Amino acid sequence: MDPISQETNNGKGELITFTYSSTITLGLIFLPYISETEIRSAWLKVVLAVFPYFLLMYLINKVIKKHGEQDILGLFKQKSYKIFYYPVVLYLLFGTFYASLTGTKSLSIIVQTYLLQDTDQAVIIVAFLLVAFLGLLYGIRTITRMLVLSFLLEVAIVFSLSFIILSEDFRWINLAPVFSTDILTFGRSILSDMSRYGGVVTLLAFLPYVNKSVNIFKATSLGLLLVMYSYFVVCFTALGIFGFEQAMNFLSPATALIQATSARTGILERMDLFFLSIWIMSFYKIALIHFWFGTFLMNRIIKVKPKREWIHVCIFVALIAAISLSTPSLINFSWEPFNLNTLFYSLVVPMILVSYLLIRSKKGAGTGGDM
Amino acid sequence: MGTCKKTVFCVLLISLICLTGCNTDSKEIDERTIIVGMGIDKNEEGQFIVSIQVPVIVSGGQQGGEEGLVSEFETLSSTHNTVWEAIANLEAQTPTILFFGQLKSIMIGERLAKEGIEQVMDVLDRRAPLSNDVLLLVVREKGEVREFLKNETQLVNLPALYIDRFFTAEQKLSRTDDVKLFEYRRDRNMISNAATIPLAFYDINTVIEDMAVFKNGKMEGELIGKEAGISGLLKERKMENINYTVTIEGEGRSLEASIRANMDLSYSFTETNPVKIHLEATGKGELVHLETHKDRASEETIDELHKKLEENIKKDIDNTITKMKGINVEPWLIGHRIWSKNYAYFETLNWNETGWKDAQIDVNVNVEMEQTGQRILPEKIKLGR
Amino acid sequence: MVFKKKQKKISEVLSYDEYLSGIYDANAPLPADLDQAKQLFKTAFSNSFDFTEREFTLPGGKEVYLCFISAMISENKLEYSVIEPLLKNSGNIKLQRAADFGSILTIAEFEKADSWKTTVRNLLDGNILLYAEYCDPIILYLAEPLERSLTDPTTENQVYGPKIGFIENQHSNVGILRQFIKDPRLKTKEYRLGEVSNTGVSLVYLEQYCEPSVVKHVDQLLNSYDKDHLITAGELNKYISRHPNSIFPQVTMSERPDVAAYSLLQGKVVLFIDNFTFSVIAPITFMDMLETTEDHTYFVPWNLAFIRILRLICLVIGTTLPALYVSLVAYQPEMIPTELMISVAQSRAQIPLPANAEAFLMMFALDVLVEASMRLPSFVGQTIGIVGGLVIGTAAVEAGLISNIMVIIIAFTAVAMFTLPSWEYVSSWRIVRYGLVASAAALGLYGFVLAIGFLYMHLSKLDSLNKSYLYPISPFYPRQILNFFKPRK
Repeated sequence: MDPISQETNNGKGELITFTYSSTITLGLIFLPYISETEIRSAWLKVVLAVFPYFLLMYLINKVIKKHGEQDILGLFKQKSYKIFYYPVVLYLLFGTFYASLTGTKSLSIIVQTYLLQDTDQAVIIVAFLLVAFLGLLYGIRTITRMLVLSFLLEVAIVFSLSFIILSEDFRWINLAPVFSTDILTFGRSILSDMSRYGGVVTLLAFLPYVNKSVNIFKATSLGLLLVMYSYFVVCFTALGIFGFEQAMNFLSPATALIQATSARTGILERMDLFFLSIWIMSFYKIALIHFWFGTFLMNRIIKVKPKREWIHVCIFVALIAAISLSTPSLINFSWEPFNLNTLFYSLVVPMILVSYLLIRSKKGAGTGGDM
Repeated sequence: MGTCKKTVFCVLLISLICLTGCNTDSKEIDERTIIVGMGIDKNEEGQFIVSIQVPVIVSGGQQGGEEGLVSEFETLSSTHNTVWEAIANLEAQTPTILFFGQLKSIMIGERLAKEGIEQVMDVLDRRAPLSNDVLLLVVREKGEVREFLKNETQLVNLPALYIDRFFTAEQKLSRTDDVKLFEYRRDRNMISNAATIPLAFYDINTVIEDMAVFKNGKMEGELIGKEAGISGLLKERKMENINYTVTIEGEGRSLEASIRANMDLSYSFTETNPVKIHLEATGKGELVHLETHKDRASEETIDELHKKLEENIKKDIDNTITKMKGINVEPWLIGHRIWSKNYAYFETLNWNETGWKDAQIDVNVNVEMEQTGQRILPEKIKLGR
Repeated sequence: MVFKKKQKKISEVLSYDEYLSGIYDANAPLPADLDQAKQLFKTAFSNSFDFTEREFTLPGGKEVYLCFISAMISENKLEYSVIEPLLKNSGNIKLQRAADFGSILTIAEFEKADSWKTTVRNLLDGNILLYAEYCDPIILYLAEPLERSLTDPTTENQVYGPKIGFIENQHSNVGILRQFIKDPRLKTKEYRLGEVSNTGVSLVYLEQYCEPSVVKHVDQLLNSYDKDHLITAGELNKYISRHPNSIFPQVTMSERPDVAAYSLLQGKVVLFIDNFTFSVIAPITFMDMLETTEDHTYFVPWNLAFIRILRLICLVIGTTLPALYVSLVAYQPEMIPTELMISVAQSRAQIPLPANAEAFLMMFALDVLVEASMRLPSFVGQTIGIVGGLVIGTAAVEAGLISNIMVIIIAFTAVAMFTLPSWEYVSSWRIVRYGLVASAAALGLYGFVLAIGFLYMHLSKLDSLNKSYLYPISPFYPRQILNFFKPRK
């Protein structure tokens, strides 16, 4: 019926948006101070934590240039044995599933805390997954367009947070001292914050849909830089406004920040709820990205015709629904295992994968094999 | 595409309808008791008295038009051993559910404040619908909190809204300052664990002035009148529009002059034990009133004026510091500054026990007179007839 | 993908070909025997009073047979350019091949009739069959379609702009467009769609302006049209829309040649359909629906920018305001400023209905009013407006059924929505509004945001002739967006 094939015409803008949207949501709403142990200078941590991901992007770019192929996973399948390939994909799938589950769970916590106090978590999760399921059926092309559509609004909000630094409630004195721990503790603390950038692993699946002419390293780093800046602004202002001791106690410091600093008189009294509403949209987007990544990986394990892809979508969403509904609603979520797993599946595994591919080629002998 | 999409939409529709049916969060405005102000106090038996102020919603008069907008309010109160139980009791007194989302100000009784407000703060902190920028206020013991809430204020008909407007307008900052819930929490968590909350009382009119000083959640003292302004200067290192009236000798008689000053402040300290703190207050003064029109602000007058002003400010700062030293409370983040700059040194000071009490503070005030009135310039000399 | 267009099969019995083949082999040339041919036409057009035949004998003794449909031909021309020359001059010329008639007949265009099927088609188009004994049968193009003269466009009111509108004949409409764009790159293609209606459709586009892929796409779509009729443009619109079940229109229509010409210059294609006074314009995007050509008559560019921003805001307000009201009043009243909240509470104090029921009721009432007054003559329409707006609105408030804030909201919603130039578009967003209120009623702000999210997804999914519906917002072309609000010279 359609004479023109569905071309993959994702350019630079789409790639930046995808990178940004794939990881910003969870990272920002629970920023800063979400693990059990925290140090004061979270803003420094988020700035430093991004660098390994730059390295990853750089390596990915190198691999693509070397092999002339943007499908990293497909390349890996070609160049290695099935015995390695399937476990890696399976692990990535598990990681994605875990991340999606955490995302869904934390959405329900946020909504229950701020918007619908008396509503059962089942209602919140089912409504969310239903809408996400419908969105997923539309496919990656639609998802990408939708990301672009709401990207600007999100960035505008985050950037407007920068102006909080000028507010009179902001106290520079709260920032000091920058270093209050030894380097080792600091380094360990950074590891947990790296998981905030973990969503970019979905790029592995998105890159094949990007135009060959796009400079992947440039675009993804720009996306990462935007994410880093957003995190930095929130960490920095939260610390300046609330001080370390109080900021640590919040469920969502970013929300509290907007609550505390928004003008009291306006069309809307509580800007934090407005922010939350926009952030629910962000949750929706990240869910679409990760669920799609999950189904993409499932498709790599059990190949189906495009017509039957909805089966994968159904299975993935149904599993998320089943597990998130069968766990208790308001738990003191343990972030430690999640952070470690995210770090491993989003950074270590892709790093190894990419390094392996670099070694496999004729020229480049392990440019970045060490972590 | 038809059938697949249709089924999907049917599922969506059915679930939507189901969701609507059983949603307990859907509470219309008229099913909520809008709390705009809340007062918490303790009685002699140690029980909490919680009072809430709610506007009485009557449908706008048909003919009256604008009259319908003038709303009355009702103050309900209840006594119980814990705050939460008292609130629950209040809910039993109203036909609808209590709604804290619009709470603007929380008034704490002086008795409770003196016994400690930590327990109350925890209840407030855990309630998500409650914004963290509600205003805090301590009501002086001479009137009960409940009575304070009941009193109709001038100009604004809801007392709780009056407080909100009072602070939103950012007036009279040199006498008191607004403190929001999160600001209190923040200051209380700083190194010296001290925070301030504005004081208010009712006496014919609602008066909001002076600041109560808290340490570890207990009210320890007060900053009265100018002290509140000076305290603001010491804390924020900046204060605008402090008013001073000084009397000087000029042209053979004593002249009274009013001066408004905008002050800035800087800290530095020498690492000795006890610590030596240097305060450098600089500012710009503006002459707002000089006895009569005829009295010209000559060089000498101005010179003398600002000398006098500097003296006065220095005296006030000294007084304020001495007062706080007297109760061993340091609500101005001075300790925090030392702590963040040199932690090892700070440890040697034993700040909260003796460090602050023993600190030697020298104050240096420097004010420049910048303006001698805005609209008139009486300095000109008339020649001829 | 999951959602895909299915091909429909039409019933064999209704086929035009089948019907003709039942009489004579549809693709075979007309029988050489004149009497047999006459019999064929008599059978095919039996029971049709407007089917006319005329027979006469030429001076040379040849028998001639003419047949046509009476109301559709130019009888004058038939008389003076065909019958008269034949009777007068045919004596000296030997008539056998179709070309031989050229030296006798004085008409502009004729052709040899090749098959039984095309001959009947031609007759139905208002042409004339001339069949002389022992000669090739020929078709005389003397159709005179029944059409009116050019008049004002009646549905699209305008202040500044040309005062002619399209008419029911596609050929004339193409001619009108030619007057607006005098360039050989203006290309036209003609199609015959529908087995029964055999409607003429012309595709007009401007080469080098329009993407070839779009033309190719439309071309293929039109060539594969398989319904048996095409009476109104709506059928065609549904057919060329990729997502016919979507609530958003993916093509638009206009009666005004300036709009069509402007669209051509924007790289769009224009379709004309016989017996339909509107041109179909495609592909269109979300932003296109906010503009009218009239915008370009503003000579202060900021006026145009203002009016378009205004429309965009009105679109958002008109769609979301009731849902926002419901979610704020019923779920998140902490977001409303205190003073406003107290006055909302006062206005709602004695209302028995919950806010969502109130919103549904009022929205429904509004749509009923609009629908009721739409097709009535203007003087009755006004009465309905007064009765509906004033009497029902005010009375409902006074009776304590509806709060007056709700009335304000619905009224503002309605007014805001009507700033959009396309009625079809307004109707689409009206349906969206119900959906949003439903989701806001179910889950408050959360449900509202989820619904908006899905709406975003749906809009992103839409294509109009392979062009993203959200172009130029997504894919993002900042310069195009700026250009939309303030066109460059």
